[in-house]
Amino acid sequence: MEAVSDEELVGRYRAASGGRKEDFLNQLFERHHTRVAAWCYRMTGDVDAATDFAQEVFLKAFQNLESFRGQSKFTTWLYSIARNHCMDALKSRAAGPILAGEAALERTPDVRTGDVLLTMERRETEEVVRQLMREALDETEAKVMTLHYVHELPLDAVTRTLNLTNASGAKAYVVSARRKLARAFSLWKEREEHRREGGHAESRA
Amino acid sequence: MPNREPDDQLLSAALGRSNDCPPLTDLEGLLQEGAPITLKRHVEGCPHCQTELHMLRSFTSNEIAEDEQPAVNAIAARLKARPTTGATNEAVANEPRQPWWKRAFEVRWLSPAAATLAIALVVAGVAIELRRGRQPAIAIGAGTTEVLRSSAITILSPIGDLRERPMEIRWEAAPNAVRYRVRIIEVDHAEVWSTDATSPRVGLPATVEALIVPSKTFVVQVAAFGASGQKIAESETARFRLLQKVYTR
Repeated sequence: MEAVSDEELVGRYRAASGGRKEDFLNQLFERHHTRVAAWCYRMTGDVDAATDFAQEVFLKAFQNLESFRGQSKFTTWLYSIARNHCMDALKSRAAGPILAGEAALERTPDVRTGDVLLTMERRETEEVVRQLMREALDETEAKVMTLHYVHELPLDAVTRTLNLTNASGAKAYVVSARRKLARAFSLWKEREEHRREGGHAESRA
Repeated sequence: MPNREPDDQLLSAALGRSNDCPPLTDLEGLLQEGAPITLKRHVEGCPHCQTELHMLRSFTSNEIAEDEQPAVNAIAARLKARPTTGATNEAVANEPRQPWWKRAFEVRWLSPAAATLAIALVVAGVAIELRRGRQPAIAIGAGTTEVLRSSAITILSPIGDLRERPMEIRWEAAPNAVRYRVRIIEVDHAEVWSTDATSPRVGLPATVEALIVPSKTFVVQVAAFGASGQKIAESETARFRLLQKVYTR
């Protein structure tokens, strides 16, 4: 017999009443609780916190099940709830002091792109940095940088999320990526200066 | 957490979601055969979408690494065991076990003990509020000016989860204020933007609007200053967040 899809289960949940509704919630929980547990554990690295997060994710999902309209797969919908819930919770926790290792990383002097960037228009600067990243970083470095700087995930959560197996985890990738970027940026700067000088020489001629 | 210095903000902006990035519902298509070639090309050159796709894939595939299996098993077991009624007496223990999530849908009558506790808390709360109301205002300088209580300025908008990017900040005017200092900060207290205003509203420049990215929480603070330049009132911090447009119709 063909298994009922998640989306169909949600449909049946909506159509059901009383105790029958609970049966469908039970089935959805059974199908998805390990993936939510794993996700929450990767985000927190702690069994107690992950259990709380996972419970909150399911409560949110089940309380909002009526709003699921099947525009995406149920797993994608559940993922968006788990992702947003865990990231928001981690951000609100992180109002405290920066971890010693991370603070040292932020102070690493040779990985700064420098004040020159500040003199450029912001939009132009972003485009240059985006381009340099595409050219200079490998896929894992780009993912590490995105999770850490855009999603503001702590480095240990980045390490677990990307399943990095090297000794110092995500931190090594951040250091490497920032150095590569600094190098790429100074090369780009040199090229720009040459280009400008060439332009001036041509206009003088 | 990253320390928000200019370079870090630049990295965040350059790596962040761009206008070309597809919603999650489209990225989901890349997990199946037959995704549009334009989508594939975009993702190949976009670190942000690659990361989103990686996370979505890792969630949906449900592959658990060997070293995380014991922790995941423990969490799963705790989730399943999370009770229920927690009761120890035989009568309740004989009732069918009830999953914890089901309790979220129920409205329960307060037990007499809980009702008593609730009443006691309400009485205590009212008493504290009344005591607060009797506290004298703090005198400044020669004692001719009063500092309003810290909650005197109420932020009217933006507050809470927003569907659209805010275009202005509005707050209730403070008596005797001649100038307001308005700040938008991140939750780690890094300042995003600040400005002075003379009326209780201020528009956000396009550059600031662009920094308000979905799912990120920001805090608004407003301080009021009197004619002598002395701070006379301050708002509570008000948080707001732009919702991610993933499941809008």
